[in-house]
Amino acid sequence: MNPTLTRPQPQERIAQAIANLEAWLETLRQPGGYGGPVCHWWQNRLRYTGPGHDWRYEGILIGYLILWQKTGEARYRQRLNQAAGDLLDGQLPDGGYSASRFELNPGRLGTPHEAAATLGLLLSLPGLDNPERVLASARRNLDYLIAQLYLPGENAYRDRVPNKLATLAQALLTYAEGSGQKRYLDYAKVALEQALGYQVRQGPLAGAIHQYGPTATRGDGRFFPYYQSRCIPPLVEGARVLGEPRYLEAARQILGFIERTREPDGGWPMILYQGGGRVERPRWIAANADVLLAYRALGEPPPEAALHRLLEAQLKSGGFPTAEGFGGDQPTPHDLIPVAGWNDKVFRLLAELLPKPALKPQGRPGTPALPAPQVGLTEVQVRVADTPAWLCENHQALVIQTRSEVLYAWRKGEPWARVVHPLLDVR
Amino acid sequence: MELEVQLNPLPGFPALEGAHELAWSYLLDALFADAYHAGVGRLEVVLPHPDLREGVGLRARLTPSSGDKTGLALLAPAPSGKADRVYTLEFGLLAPARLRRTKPTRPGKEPEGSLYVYTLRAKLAGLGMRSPNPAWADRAWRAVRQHFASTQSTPSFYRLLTWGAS
Repeated sequence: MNPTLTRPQPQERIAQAIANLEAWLETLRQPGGYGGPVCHWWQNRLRYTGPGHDWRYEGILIGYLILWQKTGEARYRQRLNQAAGDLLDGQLPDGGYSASRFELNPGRLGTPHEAAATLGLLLSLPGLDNPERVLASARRNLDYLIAQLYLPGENAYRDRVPNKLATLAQALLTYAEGSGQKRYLDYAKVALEQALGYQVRQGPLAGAIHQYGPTATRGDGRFFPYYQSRCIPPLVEGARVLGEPRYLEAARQILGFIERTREPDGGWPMILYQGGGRVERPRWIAANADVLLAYRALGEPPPEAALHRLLEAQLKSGGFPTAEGFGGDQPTPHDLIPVAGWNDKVFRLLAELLPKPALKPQGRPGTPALPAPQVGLTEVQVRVADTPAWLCENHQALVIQTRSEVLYAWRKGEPWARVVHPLLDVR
Repeated sequence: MELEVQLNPLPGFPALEGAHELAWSYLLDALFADAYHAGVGRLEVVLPHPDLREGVGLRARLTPSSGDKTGLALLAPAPSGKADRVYTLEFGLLAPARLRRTKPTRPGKEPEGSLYVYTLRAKLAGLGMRSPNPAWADRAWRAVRQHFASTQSTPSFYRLLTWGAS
């Protein structure tokens, strides 16, 4: 499947990268959770910088669980429980989460964000202080999502976006397994079958799944390699829990498509269209961690070039940039702004790649298992409407300025940016 | 942030879907961000449509009080009152005539800031989103976003004005 020989990344490099990333994540903490601006293909949110109870919690929760399990350090378990507390405390009486729409925040009923956050809670149960409360909270959220999205008359979900259906299915599968409530398996199966109804069976796009279904039977002709990867772990889980080998085969076909569209430097185009066109740029950077996690979900080693490209991109502040190419050849702020809901994916990936035995404190109590973070000031030149500008970030602030004007200013810890120039407030 | 909401439904006000949903994200975010940084601890809002309640309430819940100043957001016609920070909404050339006829409240001569939302350029760019070709539709959507809001005077559906103390 993967012709590139994957040699293990040096353990020290992975360990240093995750130590730096974890230090950066801590700078995003504010009352209520992890905040910060959001840059995305669909929309951006640079003004709202408050907590988002969205898919950022999937990677943060699972990443902290793995870090705690591999290092035995109590502070990672504390941070895991702190993050879980953000979701539990932010849960609304109807079971939904507040500010769960990521690139559309602040808003409610974020898909797949609420399901992804709940999946994070469920997969991190082994490290949570109050698993009964978490299970009850997860159930309330899943019941809320079913009530909002499931159409009993059609035995289908009204949100006909396969990657979102897949994430919801995985959350339902995980809850059913953890709670013994088998009826959630039926809802999961409906979601997976609905998603697979949009998979292309033959031709150059074989294996890929349409991004969206305008009707129950027709796809929209758009294929994002990134979103393909989000379908793979839920299908693998579906195959295991439901005993359905078709799901595993479908996941392998998706990975085949991802492999065929991988570029030599380890990046992927943003979109391929059914008619043959494509959007080459922007190309994801931090988000590609999800693609590498998809390889791992199928037991395949992540392509070395892709992992190298990811690690090379880490900023001095410890965060990973969003993308390259939002504005053409020159880096723009939307490329370089590190976003919690993309970096969580890197956090989880690096935690998975971290070797366990090599990092255990060897009989010296108090010796940290990870190296001390080596973070500093990110200072990168960008272009804003053909004007040179500088993006600067440290543990206190994120600022973008030209020689004469501040275009963006966010003091970390605050829920709203202080300055957002109209040139940057493109949603 | 402490919040008090009044409703004054405006006949002909558009459903909060598509471009109008995006427009209200700009308007409400601009309002709450300014109020937060101006030290507003208590905000009174008059809404033109009941569906805006949730977005206003959510933003108030996510925005801690940053001072003891008062704010008044007249997003629908209402008597002007005393406040340290005032926000008014007006309807521009792209709005239906019945909304444009809504008499705006202007607590001063010159606002401190103006935000023009759902501009003519964005509306024109949006025509391409109806293309059956998904690549063209994606390009049109990107153009819509590029031109959706402006702080410079331009034909638009909405215009949010920010004022100092009234």
